[in-house]
Amino acid sequence: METNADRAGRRYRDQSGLWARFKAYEAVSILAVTIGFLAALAIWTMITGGEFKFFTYGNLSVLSQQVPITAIAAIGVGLLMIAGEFDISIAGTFTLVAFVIALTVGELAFPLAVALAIGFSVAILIGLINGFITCWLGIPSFIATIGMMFFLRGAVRFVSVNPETDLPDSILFASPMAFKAVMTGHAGGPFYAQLFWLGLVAFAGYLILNRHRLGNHIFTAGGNRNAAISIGVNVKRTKLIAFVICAVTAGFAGLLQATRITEIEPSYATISGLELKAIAAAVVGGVSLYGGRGTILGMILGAALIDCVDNVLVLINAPETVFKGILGAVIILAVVLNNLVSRREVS
Amino acid sequence: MSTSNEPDVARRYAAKSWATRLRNHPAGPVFVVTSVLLAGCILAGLLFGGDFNFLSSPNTSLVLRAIPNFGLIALGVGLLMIAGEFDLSVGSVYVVAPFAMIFAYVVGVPWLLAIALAFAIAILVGLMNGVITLHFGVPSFITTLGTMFIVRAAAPFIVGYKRSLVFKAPPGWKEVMTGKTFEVPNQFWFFLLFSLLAYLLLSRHKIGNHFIAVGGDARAARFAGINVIRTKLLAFVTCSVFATIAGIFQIMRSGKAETNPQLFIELYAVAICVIGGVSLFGGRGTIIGIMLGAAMLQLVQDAIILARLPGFYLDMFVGMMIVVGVVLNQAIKKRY
Repeated sequence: METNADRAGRRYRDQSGLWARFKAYEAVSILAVTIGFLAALAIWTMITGGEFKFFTYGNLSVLSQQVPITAIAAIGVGLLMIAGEFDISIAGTFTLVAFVIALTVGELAFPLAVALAIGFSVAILIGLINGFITCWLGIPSFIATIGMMFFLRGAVRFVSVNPETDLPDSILFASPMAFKAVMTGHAGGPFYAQLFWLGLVAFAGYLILNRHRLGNHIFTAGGNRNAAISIGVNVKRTKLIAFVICAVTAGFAGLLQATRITEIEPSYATISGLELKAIAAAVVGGVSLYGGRGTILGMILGAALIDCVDNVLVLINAPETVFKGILGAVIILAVVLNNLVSRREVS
Repeated sequence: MSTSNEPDVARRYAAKSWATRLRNHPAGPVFVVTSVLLAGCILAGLLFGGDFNFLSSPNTSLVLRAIPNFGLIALGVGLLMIAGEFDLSVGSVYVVAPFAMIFAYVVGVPWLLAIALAFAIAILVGLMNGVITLHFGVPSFITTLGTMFIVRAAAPFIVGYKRSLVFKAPPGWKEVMTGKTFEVPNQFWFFLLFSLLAYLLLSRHKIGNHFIAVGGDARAARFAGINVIRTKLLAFVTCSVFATIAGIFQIMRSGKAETNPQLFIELYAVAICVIGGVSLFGGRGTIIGIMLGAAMLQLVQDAIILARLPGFYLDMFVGMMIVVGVVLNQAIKKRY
């Protein structure tokens, strides 16, 4: 097993030239795949002569509003995966946090700041519970968070039940204009404020992961748990923090989505497959399923790639299940490739 | 009851009281909880017959028909979990294999051949799961998360985006598979039969020993001369086959095959196994526990519906039972 120190050492030895450094960068393969994919789409657009509407103003606007949401969720999930754990409950967190904020602002008529505080407290609480169950009760995280997923589905139904019909119902999220402009405003061209927020989350993620002690702890806790314990890293606390970060990013992604479409669907907690998309984005972006490896840029590119594939399938009128099928195949393929890459590096 | 059909366990605890034995048996907690729940439902049915008609004939046959549905899937998933792997693709197999069978039957393939086709698909998916997991070293829950969607996406391609197919089974089949014997739906008898088969496989056959060995400690199993890869492959195939059996019973009951995804059925199956005392880490679990877990889940669902409680209680209950189940399992294991 390659330790973090080995990898760091190799990385610095390899810094002979720009090209060598570029090749040694972990996200380079996903970068190549993304560029290749976009090039293929461009060629396809040219061949069909504008029939294929990927590079149109409208479609790029849709993507620039959709990709940041997936990518922000993927950054949280990816960070947690580097720490060696999974979170299957993020679609529930995503929906519940948005619901709680909308309810506090709407029905209880609290100020927005209070609503945001309550909403993100809920997210932090979910992360803490996930982390506690996983680290202190010793349950594998994907089972613990499946339990949380069911629980959150119930909770979403609980908060979304319409007293008149007794059925789950969507809710309006009427945020002040200024807030809406800051969160999801139009920034010129096909660009929206969500991209700025993605940049902010990505930068924060980069600082935590690569420029702060916590990041080192996350890498070590996921890469080699025993080594981490023996050099004095508090593995349980590190993982707990990673769980909380994951839940908060999922909640933030939910808030962005809710602000944009101003209406929150309770069914999003069950049928969106956001948890799968986020794991796929992280794995495609080079995050190891076994923890200890991954980059923020890889997660973002992975999310972009997956949303672009989804978008292309919508453009060519493929049925919904096909996207999920491709997603499934991509996850398996990416894991197999990641395994091959890490084996090559060790030898 | 919980130990009478586990002679080896019984021997191990021969000197101890039945209470100790029950407490240390993997299926002990679920046996107690299910018994209490059943007693409570019967009592409530007797006391508030009008409002809570648990004992009415339609309700009992509803419950006895619902238990085999999840129970059969859980039997396969449980056997695989005992062998140390997961299968999240059972929900897709449960839907797609019977659908392919009916599709073949409707276009003119003989009935028995169509059934063979369903099982061929099941074996193929099981092998695919096994090969990806074992030869490429992908964790099984990621592999089967992938194949769950691949299988589901493959179905509409094959059959041309049909949503559902109505069919009429050859005479006799529907009566045998979904009729009633002694006032109990036949599905339930079949469930008992298949549980018995699973029990014989797990506790009375060499293969079952191998399942427990590779799930408990794969290295030790290999040193003992067990072919770990072949054993796990067999467990993957068994799991898919049980899901197909469950799916065939389901379409026989409704008379209609659908491609609509049965959401989260695989997670319910894992939940049933965990509640029934199957270890998440492999190597521990009993068939009786899985049967009781399936019964308990349906009893809770039925009680929630009869008491006219909102549906979200079931989701919350399942979520909490998964966590509580795992914690209990580990507590019992530590006491060993």
